[in-house]
Parts: sequence; structure tokens; C-alpha cells
Amino acid sequence: MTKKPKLFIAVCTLPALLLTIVFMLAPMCNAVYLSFTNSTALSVGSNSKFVFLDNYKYMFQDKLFILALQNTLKLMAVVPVITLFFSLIFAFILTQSKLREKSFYRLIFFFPSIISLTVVGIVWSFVFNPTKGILNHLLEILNLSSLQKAWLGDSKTALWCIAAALIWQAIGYYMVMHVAAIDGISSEVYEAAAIDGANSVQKFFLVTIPMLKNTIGITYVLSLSGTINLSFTLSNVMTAGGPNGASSVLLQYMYTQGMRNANYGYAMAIAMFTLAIAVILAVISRKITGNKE
Amino acid sequence: MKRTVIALFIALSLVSVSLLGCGSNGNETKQAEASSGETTVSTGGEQQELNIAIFQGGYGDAYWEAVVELFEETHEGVTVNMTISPTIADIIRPQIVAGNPPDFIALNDTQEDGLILSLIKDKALLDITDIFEGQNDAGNGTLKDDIIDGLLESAKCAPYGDGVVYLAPFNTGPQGLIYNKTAFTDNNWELPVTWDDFFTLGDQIAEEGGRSLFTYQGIYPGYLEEMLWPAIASAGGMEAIEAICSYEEGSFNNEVVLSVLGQIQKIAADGYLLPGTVGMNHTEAQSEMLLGKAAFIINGTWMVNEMADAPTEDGFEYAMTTVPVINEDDTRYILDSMEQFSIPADARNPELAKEFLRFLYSDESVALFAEHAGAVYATKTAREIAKDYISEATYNMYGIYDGENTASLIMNFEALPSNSKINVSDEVFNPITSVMNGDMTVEGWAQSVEDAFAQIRADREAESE
Repeated sequence: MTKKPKLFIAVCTLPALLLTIVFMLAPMCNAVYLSFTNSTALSVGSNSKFVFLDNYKYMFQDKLFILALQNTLKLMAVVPVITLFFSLIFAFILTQSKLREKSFYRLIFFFPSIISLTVVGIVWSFVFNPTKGILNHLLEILNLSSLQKAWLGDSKTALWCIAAALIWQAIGYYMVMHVAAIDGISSEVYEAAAIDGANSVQKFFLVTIPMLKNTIGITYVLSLSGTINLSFTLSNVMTAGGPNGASSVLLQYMYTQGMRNANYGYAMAIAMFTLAIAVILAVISRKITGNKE
Repeated sequence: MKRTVIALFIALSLVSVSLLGCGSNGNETKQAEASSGETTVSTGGEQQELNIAIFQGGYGDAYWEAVVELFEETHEGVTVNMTISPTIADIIRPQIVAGNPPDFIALNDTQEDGLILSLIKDKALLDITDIFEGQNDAGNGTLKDDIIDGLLESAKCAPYGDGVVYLAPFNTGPQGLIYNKTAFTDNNWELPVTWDDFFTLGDQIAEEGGRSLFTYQGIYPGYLEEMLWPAIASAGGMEAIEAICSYEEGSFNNEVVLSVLGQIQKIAADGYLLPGTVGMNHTEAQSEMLLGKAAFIINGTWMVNEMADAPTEDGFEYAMTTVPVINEDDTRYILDSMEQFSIPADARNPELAKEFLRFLYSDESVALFAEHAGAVYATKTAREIAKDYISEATYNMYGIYDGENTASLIMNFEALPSNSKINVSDEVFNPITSVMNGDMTVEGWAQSVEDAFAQIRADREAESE
């Protein structure tokens, strides 16, 4: 048995440790502290007053915050489920079918994930554009002009336009993860299913999904946190949170309060609240999808 | 042992390299080249640096390049480091927070980024009253007397209501209903004076087909301030505006304001609004109007410059008229598009910044602004100086002030208490989209603004405790 180079290992972890402390832990502790103060952009340090829970109390009387919270929850309820559903189906088709263009589709579906999210936002705002947008044009061609509307300017549709863009850009990413997981399932299992007379749909629901339960659980949590994070950029680019707050999300409201209104303390309180939601939901969904081992 | 030392060295170098990145200056400061070209340190420490941060908006950057060059030529030993960007606030905000602000800022307080508002809230701007009390650049009078009357006293320049000037006026220009003069002449349409005229014209245009009466910059409903404030001032007088500016109880939810909000709602409710407007950004709405899809758009004189490359309908000729009033003999207010300069209280070189500011009001600078940006400084002689440089269309738009029964309107809310979490402009204008979509009543709109005002009054009390 060779002696472990303890010192060497310690030194090697040092850079990562230092970076984590300087760029993650310290700012995070600072954020927790700030959320209990009335700090503004210019009074971060000594001039700010400790206000204890005032920021958190204000949060629940602030109708814009509540609106942003509702919108975020709506997105979290809808986006991960649809994203994972489609990514699973695509992954299944790409691995199980005998399509010759498989690798081409794999590339195309993954493509949105490597484009900058700002670009995704701009592209989709053109899709939903009231006069030049492809969606309104399609509706016209299909003789459905009565359904045409200013998609991003209508409070009933703006949030769902953002959801559509979120789903579109995320499907490919999770598809690749699921492809890898499906590749890990022994082909014998599918062969056995085929011998038992299972068709593709049955294979998908009775073999693939149960075998991928653990992976799906992990990707679901990833997708939840992705929805919280990415909805900020898309909402900023596509609608600026409008109309009248109908598509604002938590992180965007945090940015508005922190950067535009210069209320650092309040913004940090919103950030802490968002973090708490993300953590709680992740724990719950891990419990439900169950890692039995 | 030797291996450990090497590992330690590599690990440390990794850390130091990544930390080095933090120290470097990340912004894209563009050093304006002095015409002399040489920046060698001269004797006696006369070498001075001025850091200026400029918002690059519809007027472009040519004026700033030119005026900086002229300033360096006329001020020996001065180097101006200019950062100019459409997102200037995002660039300088971290510098200001870190206690290293630029010496001079050209950025408006109505800008989406809210930077100047937060500096006002935090009382972080330098008192610049002395510049205006002092001599002008030519040395033939007080600078104050060169500036258009009423600007320096307004809340735009003296935000705390005590007459102390913290923000300097940059340009001035009318904002109102922009229309295509050719279309109006060809179709024998009459310019509306009252709201009734406005909607009658709308019916006439609708009958002729192909065009809506009005459009605005949809997803940025804040542009409608150019319509809302003049309309309220016309209906309720300046008292109504002053009450709103100081967030008085009942200043927004009252009969006068409701009657004006009702007219704005009617634009959409009765089908006078260009379909799809609520989903357009400013460029899209402006392009549609230029193509003849709408007879009017609300905007300022910069639209000529901003949309210079956009296609228009045949024979398009810019013209501007006032926002409709309720009764024919009401004063027709015109909201001024004044932008602002400011000097941060922590500026490293405030004296040179003040000198630069004084220089900006000189005739040479005013002429350069007209030449390169096609616009007019907020000085009394600026329009005359600019006459030779600006386009006829722009010059004619300035003629709106010469119309019958008109008056200029400067509108600015009083400074917010520093603990306030309200964004007044959002509170007033964001509901417009809901009103236009029919999701909100004007009473609901007025009440939501009143609620925000109540919160601001409460914040004020909390702060003064």
C-alpha cells in the first residue's frame, strides 16, 4: 500500500477551494447579510441600517413581487414537465428507431442549447411579432386570422410565449442526457420486450421510463432550476417583464429592484427567497422521484 | 518533496492568474485622441485627465467625438477619456458602487436603467449651482442667463425642491404627435385641436381605409408620457401636474385625470389604435407609422435622426402637432425632451468637470451639436445657431412652440426617499398596456397609481423618522 500524498492533494484542492470561497461563499454570506439591511447601491457598507425582516415583510405586500412569484411558479409547473416529456420522446426515437438521419436530428435538436439565450429571445420575439411574425402569418394562411394577436403585448399570452421559447431551447439539452441514459439500458431488455410482443409505445412507457426513473428525477431538478434562471433572460429580452408585469419573473424583479431602483437590500431579500424556493422544490422532487439506494 | 514544491507553484499560479482578472479594468474606455497626438507628461503636473461617461442615444457619437477634440485643443494638457455606449449605465454602475465614478456623466434620469434616479435618491450628485451663477465660457455674462428660462428651477435640474442645481440641462426639444405632412395635405385632413377633433379625424381616416389613427411604442408605454402629462396639464392646469409630482393624495384618482385617462383608453377601445401596437417595440411602431399604417405617433424630434435609414411611404415629410386638449381654448402644453448632465459628488476631478460643462454651452459646442446630431442645446440662442445645420423638417418641428396658445412643459417627479422600492414611471405607465387591451379600467389604473403614491408617502415618513 502506497502512502497517500496528503499534502499534494490538499494543495491541489486549494485553488478550487479559494475560488469557491471568494466567488461563491463570501458573496452569498454578504447577500444574506444585505437582505436584512436597507442598503442602496451607494450605501452598501457602513451607511446602511439593519432593518431585520422589513424587506421580507414588504415583499409580501408588494403586488409586483407577488405577480413575479406567481409567474415563476406557473413556469415551473409547466416548463419542466413539457420539456422532459418531449426530450424523452425524441431521445427514445433517436435511439430506438432505425432512422438514417439520426445524427442529423441529434445535432439539430441540440443546436438551440448552444446559442446564446439572448439570441434565442430575439429570434422568438420575431416569431411572435404582431406584424412581421411567422406565427401571425401562419394563422392568416390557415384562415385563422381571428386568432391573430400581439402575442407579447397581451397579458394572457406573454408568459406562455416565454415558456415556448424556454421549452424549445431546453429540449435538445435534456434529450442528449436521456440519449446517454437510454444507451445505458441493456439492449437485451428491449429484445425481451419485443419478443413479448411490446410495440414502441409500450416499450417507451413500460421499459424506458421505469428504467430512467433516476435520470428523469435528476433532469427534472435541473430543469426546475434552469427555468428559474433562464426565464430571467428571456423575459428581459422578449417582453421586459411586460405587459404590466404579466411576464415578469422573480430574478427579473430582483434585477429591477437591485439595478434599476438601486435597492440592494430588498433585491437580496428577493434573491434569498428565490434560493429558498429552488432548494425546497429540489428536495421535494428528489423525494418524490425517489432515490431508493 | 520536489514534486510537492512544483505542485504548490502550479496551484498558486493558477489562483493568482484567475485573481489577476479581477484587478484589471474591464470597461471599454476609448481614449479620445488628442489632436496633438502626444500624451507625454508635461512639466509642473499640469497634465490633467477627465473621465467622462456618455449615453449614446438617438443623437449618435459624432458630436461627442468632435466636442472632446475641441476641448482638448483649447485646454492644454488635458486628456479626456471618453466612454460612450448605449448601455453606459451598466458600464459605470460598478465603478460608481466601487467609489470610482467618472468625473462627468451625460445620462438622462428618465432612462430605463434608473442610474441617475438612484444617484439622486442617494444624494450622490455634486451641487453645480456655482457654474450657473458664474461666468459663461465666452466671458460675456452669467451662464444662468444663457440657459432657457425655467429649466434650472425645474425639478429636472433641482430635484430636491430647494432650488439647488444638481443636474444641468443638455438639449431641449418638443415632443408631440408626429405626422406625415404630405398625407395630411393630399387627403385634406385637418389637424385636430381637441380630443373630439382627434377622434372625428380618426373616423374619417378609417372610412378612407388603409390607415389607423394612432400608434405608440407598444412595449415601452413610457413614451406615452409625451401625451399624458400635456393632456393633464391642459385639463387641470399646472396645479394638477405639481400635485402629481409631489405624490399628493388624490392627485391621480380625480375627475380631471380620469377624463384624460378616458380619452387615452378610447383610442384602443374604439378601434383607433393600430392593431398589434401593444406588442411592438419603439423601432417597429415607428417604422409602421413611417410606412403610413398610422396617421400619428407620439415622439420627439430625434425620430428624424433615429429613423433616417427606415423606409417611408412616398413623399413622407415630418411634421409635429400638439397633443389634443379637452376644450378648444385650453392651453396646449408641449412636453420638453430635455436631457441632463451631472457630476458625481465623488468625482476625482470636479473642477475640470465643471470647466468641461461650462465649455459644452459655448457657441462652438452648440454649433457642433446641431451639425453632428441635428439637435438643439438648451440655451436661448441655440435654435438660432442651429438653424444653418439642422434639417428643415427638424427646424419646422421646433416651430410647434410658435403655435397658438402653446406652452412648454417640464415634468419631473420629486426625488424619492432612498428607502423607496417604487419605480414611479413603471407604476404610472405600465398599466397602459392592460388598459389598451381592455384588461383594466381607467379607474383601476388611477387607483393603482394612487396606491403607489401612498406607499411613497409612507416611505417618506419612515425615512424622516
